[in-house]
Amino acid sequence: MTRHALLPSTCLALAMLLRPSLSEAQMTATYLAYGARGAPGTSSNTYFVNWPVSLSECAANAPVEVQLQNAPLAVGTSLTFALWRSSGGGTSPTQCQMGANRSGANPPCTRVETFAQPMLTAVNQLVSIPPQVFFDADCSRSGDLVFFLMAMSSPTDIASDVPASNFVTLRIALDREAPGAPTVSDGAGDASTTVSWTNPSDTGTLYGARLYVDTGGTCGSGDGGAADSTLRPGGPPPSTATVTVTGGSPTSASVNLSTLGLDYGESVPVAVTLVDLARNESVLSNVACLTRVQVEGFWSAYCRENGLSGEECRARYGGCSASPRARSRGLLAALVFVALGVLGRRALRTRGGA
Amino acid sequence: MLRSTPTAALLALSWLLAPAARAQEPTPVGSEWSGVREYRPSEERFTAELGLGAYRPSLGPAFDDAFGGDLGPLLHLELDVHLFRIPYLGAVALGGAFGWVEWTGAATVVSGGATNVGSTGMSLLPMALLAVLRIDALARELDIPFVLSGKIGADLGYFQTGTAGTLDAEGWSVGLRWAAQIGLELDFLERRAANRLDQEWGINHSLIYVELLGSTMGRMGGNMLPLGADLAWHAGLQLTF
Repeated sequence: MTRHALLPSTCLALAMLLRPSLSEAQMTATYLAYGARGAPGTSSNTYFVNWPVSLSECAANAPVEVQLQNAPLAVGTSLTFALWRSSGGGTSPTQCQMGANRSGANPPCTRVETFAQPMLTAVNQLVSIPPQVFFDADCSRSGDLVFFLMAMSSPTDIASDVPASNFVTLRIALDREAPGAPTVSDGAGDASTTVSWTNPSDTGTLYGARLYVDTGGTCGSGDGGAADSTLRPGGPPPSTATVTVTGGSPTSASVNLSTLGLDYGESVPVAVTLVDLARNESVLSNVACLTRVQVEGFWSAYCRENGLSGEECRARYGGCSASPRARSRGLLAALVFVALGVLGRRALRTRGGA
Repeated sequence: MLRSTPTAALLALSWLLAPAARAQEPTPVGSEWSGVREYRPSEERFTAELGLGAYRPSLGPAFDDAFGGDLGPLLHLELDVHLFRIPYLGAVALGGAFGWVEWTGAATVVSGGATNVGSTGMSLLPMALLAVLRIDALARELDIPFVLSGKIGADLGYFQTGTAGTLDAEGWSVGLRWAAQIGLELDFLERRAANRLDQEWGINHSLIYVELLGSTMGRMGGNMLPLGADLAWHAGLQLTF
């Protein structure tokens, strides 16, 4: 037998060996996106850690997109997909694939939803599940929850165990609580300023903060000298933020005052909200004021002292872009240093040869 | 000791050629010194120095108001290439110096009222090409461990200044720099170690120094920012090699 004749039969044997494991592959799930949020690409078992669902997202019922892989289509169309909820949460959920956990008077696993046929038409398929399937229509079921999406011969089957190839774990959480509002301080600056605030002590890790500037409002003209603004302390935030900052514990943000259309001496009301990892947004903070002031540093003071405007000063002493004459001076300096280096190297070589 | 070297060499040769008798024969007096060579200092070709100091340009009350008593500090690096030596006096060298200094202060509001509106700052990179006279006659001829240096040359500075994160201006200034330096040679502390440093690494002398300098950078006419200083200083470590 030649080597070429041997090769196909070897491959065939290998394929025969591999076939059973391929048919028994574990079904997996990956969260691709949640509503308008970006794609986390997160394994279903770690979804809760970084991507809890917010109360507003649950209320909007924008679907959670789950990429299923190795779904058990090959068994036939008689399979029904059902979602079961485990009573144990976190890292030790009750295993709903066990028939014993689905039976009895008060079983630790309860059926949440049965999906209409056909739920799946391909082995690897994107499935959209409305979040209210997980958290109830009134989004009352909050916390870290574990679900099992199982392909079963009958959704009412509570006797038989479901094989590993026919179920996948979906861990997901609903965070109903928004963080507390921060306390903001007034800010002042020329072209820009930094707005600072203090976060409540129990906010945990945040997604970020949003700044709302009411360009139509005024500071100090309302009742008791308060800001006359549509921004209300403790009220709901406007639909569009002026500045958004991200980070686990943001306490400041830079605001460009010149783009807000402020002249020197003018002020505008500002308020801040905090946003947690679930994208729950706090109510508005206290309303502070941002004031555009003419800031003077060394350069403007020096120019004024010499009777020059900023432009005249820059034109005389260099300006923000180096002039060709200045560049040639820089080149001269570089050449001098290179020449020194060459001289030094030559002297070293002479010394080495001596 | 030089005169005894041939005799010692002969003794060492005979000691090598008569290994069998070595154990019985007493060691000739002086033979244990035969392997020690006389220390001959290597030629000095370079001087390098690294120092820290203070530099304030003469920019008037605006500078004083903005930066208060901020002295920098000035970080100074210099390399001198020795061109030739004047007998019984010292070396003439050509040097290149590079430095960095930055001053910061609080920005102010023109109309008053608000505080904490950011900072204002200015940084300067002074560079110089210098002719150096390094007088080491005291140390070489009289064993007084002081080295005096005088320097003069072209000074070139690049500056940047900004306020509250915005660049206000940048540019170049040129002028003349002078400097006077006194250095204390550390060889006298441990002369053998100093000699070994020369033999093994080629470092002839190590010194601590203080240098006073002045600059007319930007003050010789033309549209340049007067970045020169009437008097500045830096001190640090210097090596000749």
